[in-house]
Amino acid sequence: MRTDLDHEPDSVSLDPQLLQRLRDLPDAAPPPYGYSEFSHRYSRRRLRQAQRPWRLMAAALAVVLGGWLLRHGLLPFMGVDSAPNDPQVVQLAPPGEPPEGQLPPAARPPVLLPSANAESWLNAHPQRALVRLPAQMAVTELEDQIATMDDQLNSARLSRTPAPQLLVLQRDRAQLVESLAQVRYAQNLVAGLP
Amino acid sequence: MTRLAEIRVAEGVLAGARAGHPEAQSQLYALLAPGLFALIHRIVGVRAVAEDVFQDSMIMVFEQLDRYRQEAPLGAWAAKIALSRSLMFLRSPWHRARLSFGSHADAEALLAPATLALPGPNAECFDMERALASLTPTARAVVWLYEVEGWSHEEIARDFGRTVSFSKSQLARAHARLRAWFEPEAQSCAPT
Repeated sequence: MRTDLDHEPDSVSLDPQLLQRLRDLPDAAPPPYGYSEFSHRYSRRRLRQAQRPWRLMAAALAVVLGGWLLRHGLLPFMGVDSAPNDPQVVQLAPPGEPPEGQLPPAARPPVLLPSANAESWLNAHPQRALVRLPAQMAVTELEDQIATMDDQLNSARLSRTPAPQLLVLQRDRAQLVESLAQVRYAQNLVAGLP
Repeated sequence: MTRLAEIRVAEGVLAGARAGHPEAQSQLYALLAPGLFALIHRIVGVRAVAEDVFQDSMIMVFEQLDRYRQEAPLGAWAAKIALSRSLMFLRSPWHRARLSFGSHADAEALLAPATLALPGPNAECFDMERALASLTPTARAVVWLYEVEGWSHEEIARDFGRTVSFSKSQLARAHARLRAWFEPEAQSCAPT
């Protein structure tokens, strides 16, 4: 606090009359709100402060969960794949045989998988693919393709398509059915079923 | 010091407010709020900002009531909190940016010599409020703290985070501005 002796010299000080006017200015004004509103705002603020750690924790959890979902749940199906470029075909073991691929790759005809993303992913991780891939999706795709193939076969038979073309369609359908069987075999392996 | 320092609070009210009794806190609020709001409004200048600072200050008063040791009047203690919050606002980068880019960008220009020559409001010979409003927020705060609240230049410099020279130069320029504001009034109001 300043004492009167500390006051500035006259050259820079204010005229006493002006100074008195300054000091006579009203020093009270109606507050913007009463105690009830203040109390309401105060309690809201305390509530927000109390919730802050929980909110931060929830936000951190949401970020972690979102990152995990993006990494493990969505990326394989969004075309984002960390595996190197893979060939368009994979070799899958037939049902009833070990999936390790004991047969030489050339022994089985190449089978096109229904989804290019799943194909490359499966090709990079053949064992884990059978474990992690939602097999039901592949099953549905294969079943749809088989149904489409059946329609084409029916149309071809009704229109008396030449035999070689019918054979091609039948061979393609057989490959699809074989693929479906392999996927279901893999499902059985994952589920621990015989 | 403003009349906040003259506010007397009963011991029971103070104890009740410390204990969190709404009735006592309501009484304390009714005693302190008008003076604190006027003081804050005087320093920060803008009513909307003053309301925010007022709320922060009142919350701080109630939260720190346990630390009040009754070495000074409660009003003076609360005024110190309010002034501290107000100066914190004036020091904030947000406020400085607002002065630089907002409608008050030319606030410092108000103190330029050319502007000082502008005539004062003849019709409002005693309008000290308008004269104060013509000062920049910093100059207004300095002149109020020094002339009315009785702060020393050292205290002002410390709370602004600046040097004593800053406080002295702000005060001198504010005085010059106020004198220039009222000089035409003195001439026109003087009997001929």
